[in-house]
Amino acid sequence: MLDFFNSNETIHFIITVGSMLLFTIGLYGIFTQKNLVKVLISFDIMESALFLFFIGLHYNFGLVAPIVDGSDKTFTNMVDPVPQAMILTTIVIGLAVLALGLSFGIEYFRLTGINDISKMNELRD
Amino acid sequence: MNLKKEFRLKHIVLSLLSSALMLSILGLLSHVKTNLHKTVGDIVLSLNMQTATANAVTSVVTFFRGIDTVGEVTVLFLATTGIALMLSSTQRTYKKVVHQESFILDIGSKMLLNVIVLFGVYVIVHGHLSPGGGFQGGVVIATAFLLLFLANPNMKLKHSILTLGESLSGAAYVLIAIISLFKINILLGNFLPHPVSQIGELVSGGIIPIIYIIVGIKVGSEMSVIVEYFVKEDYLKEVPHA
Amino acid sequence: MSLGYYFLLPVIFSFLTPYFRKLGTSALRGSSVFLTFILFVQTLEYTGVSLPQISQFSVAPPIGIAFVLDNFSLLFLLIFTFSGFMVSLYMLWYFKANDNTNETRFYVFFNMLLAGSIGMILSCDIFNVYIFFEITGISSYALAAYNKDKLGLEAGIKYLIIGSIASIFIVFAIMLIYLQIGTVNIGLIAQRYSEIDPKIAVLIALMLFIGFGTKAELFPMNFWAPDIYQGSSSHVNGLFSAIVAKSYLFVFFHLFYLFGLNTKYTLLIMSLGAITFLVSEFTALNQKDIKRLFAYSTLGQLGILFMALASNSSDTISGALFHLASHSISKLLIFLVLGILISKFKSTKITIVGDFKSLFLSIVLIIGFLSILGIPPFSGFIGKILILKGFALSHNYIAIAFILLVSIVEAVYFFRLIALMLDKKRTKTSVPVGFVNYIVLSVLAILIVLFGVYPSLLTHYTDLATNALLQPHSYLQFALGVGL
Repeated sequence: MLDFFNSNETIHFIITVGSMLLFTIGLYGIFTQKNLVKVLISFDIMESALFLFFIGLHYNFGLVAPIVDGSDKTFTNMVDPVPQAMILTTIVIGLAVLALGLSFGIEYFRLTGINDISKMNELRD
Repeated sequence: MNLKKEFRLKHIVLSLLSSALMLSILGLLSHVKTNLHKTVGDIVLSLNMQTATANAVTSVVTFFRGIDTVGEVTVLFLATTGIALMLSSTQRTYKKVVHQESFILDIGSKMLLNVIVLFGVYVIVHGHLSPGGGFQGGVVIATAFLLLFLANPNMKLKHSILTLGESLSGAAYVLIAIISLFKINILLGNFLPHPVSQIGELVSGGIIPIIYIIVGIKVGSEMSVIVEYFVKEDYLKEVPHA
Repeated sequence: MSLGYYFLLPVIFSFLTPYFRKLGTSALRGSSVFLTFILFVQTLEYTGVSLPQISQFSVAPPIGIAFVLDNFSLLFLLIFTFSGFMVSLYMLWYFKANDNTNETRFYVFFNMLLAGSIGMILSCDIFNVYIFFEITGISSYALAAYNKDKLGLEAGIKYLIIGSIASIFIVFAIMLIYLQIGTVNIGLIAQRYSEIDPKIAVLIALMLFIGFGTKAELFPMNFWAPDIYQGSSSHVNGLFSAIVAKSYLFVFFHLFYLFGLNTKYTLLIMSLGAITFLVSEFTALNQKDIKRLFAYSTLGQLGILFMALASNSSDTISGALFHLASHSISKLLIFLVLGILISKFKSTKITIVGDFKSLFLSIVLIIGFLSILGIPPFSGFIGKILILKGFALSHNYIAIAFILLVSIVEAVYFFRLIALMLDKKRTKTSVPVGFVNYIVLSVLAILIVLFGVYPSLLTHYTDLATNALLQPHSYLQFALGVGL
């Protein structure tokens, strides 16, 4: 009976639903949260959801990590390395943007004492 | 009371909206094909033996999609510069934190520093053989400095050395790309000898481990700078209001 | 010279800026002028070469990444490198006349903003385009917040949040594309886009539309743009308007035509462009802040460009590309002049255009205004008339009537500004211009007049670019690595 969980369809279904749930949580956070730090965290949650989705859907049962060890020197039966490399790149970019956003927030808070994005409304018509 | 009601209503509406949006995307995603054959990744796997790199992800990051990594390193550099622009200024003075000199904390953190840095260097140097590499190892090294800051808030990093590290390693990366253009007429090509028989050894893969070491130096120094700026924010002397 | 240098040279210059600074401020400023000059001269050389050109990184394209330059990207490359060169010259004056504590970091962001925009138009790999998108994005967030004052930081934070939303959607689209086709090469995607399940194809198109449309300042997603322009410095606005917005516009329409979305969504994009134009021009009428006013004006012009570029007819697109080049030059001129005025008066009120006394600045500013407005003999007139001619040839008379009617609104606020400038009753203060600025501003003004009088100088390139956009066969071949 538990073989049901060992099929690609099941695991892909679970990953899709789970990551989209996480994506929704992030989206909800962006809509509702006022605190800049929480908004940035929501972005991070959304990004993580995408990473899970992408990496998860590229995993099939029976495949191993794309690294050869001493004994078997052929690159067969391995998961696709390109999505992993792309996600590695995207993680670093996400981290860079998050850190930059936090530094903007710190400096703005030092100047004005505001960390609520709905109160950042000096710029208007 | 009134405020609470409004708050609740808005949240319910927004959560319903985002759920509806996601459900529709989820419905569309049920059409996604998941068992692709003949992706770029499969071609890369079949070609990967030629690069003599045991870790295929490393060869994709540093070789097949090498220019992505130059861009990625640049993004990190830009973010560091932006953070330095925001959080460092001549008017900022940090207060000396009175912390109890604890012998065990002092010695323990310094001992751990060596171990963590050694581990980071191991992860960087073995990037082409095992999981890990320049980015991961660089972040490991930055955590060693984070430990030092937590143990001793008055510590300072030598910025001139870190700037040297990040500038020169970045420039070296680009120079490797340009040297390759002159040697084999391809930007960022693998111009060093990389015989396939060496696969799995420490010295293998031509320029790939060299690039990952350069990336490791760059990421390590940049992440350390970022960590320092954010940790030091706690110890600002005065918070001037404009 | 290999095309890869367009990205690698600015990168190496950026990495080494701390050491240029140690050699002295003039070495720092000189390095940026030198860099942009090399890039501009190199681009001029490409005008005489048979295109497309390709240069690969590491491995040949469908597996690796390459830069491909065709006639369409050449036009944008000319605009970007020229604008970059002009701004780097202008910065020589700016940092002499203003606070220069963070000069080193400005040049890092400036060089990378240019490199990121150029990379976005050259790269033939969609994930690589995303990387350049982020490089341009981070540089522009930092440049918006560069002054570290309240307004600038607020602009930076807003820009960063909007940019993060856009980039999440683009990443999602790229992931779906890779899941469906198994490649990120633009050429292969364009070939196989019709194989994708239609429902997923709609989702991908929607996400790309949200991602690039947000950054290219298209109507439902452009509410943020005036705030950013108001908060940033004036010369940064010049960069945003002449380079950054145009590079997102390039990617938007490049993918639009390559993926064959033009058969389905032409009307949608055209009407959104029309709404952008209408709403921005009406909102611009009662603005009190000069930078915000020109932000709305930029949005309006981008609206016309969206209308014309989505129209699928070669005459209109050629006119639109002419208008795009002319708009870049004119807006750059206006924002640079405003930068001089703002640094003198320390105010961004609309009245500063009436407070200065300098014959030279008045002349070039009026040239800029009239060119944006579309008055002969300036280049904006030719751009608008070519767009109208294109619409007339494709029998789209509604679009013609619409553009002409809304242009009247535009005329109202531009003539109000000119009247303010020529008002003799106001007390005028003389403004020092600076030697470099005489050169920069007169070059820009002369180009505006030159393209207005001899449009064939530019229409030659816009026609070639239009052909390259509408018949992308050779581009696609090169993107698959045929030319190697």
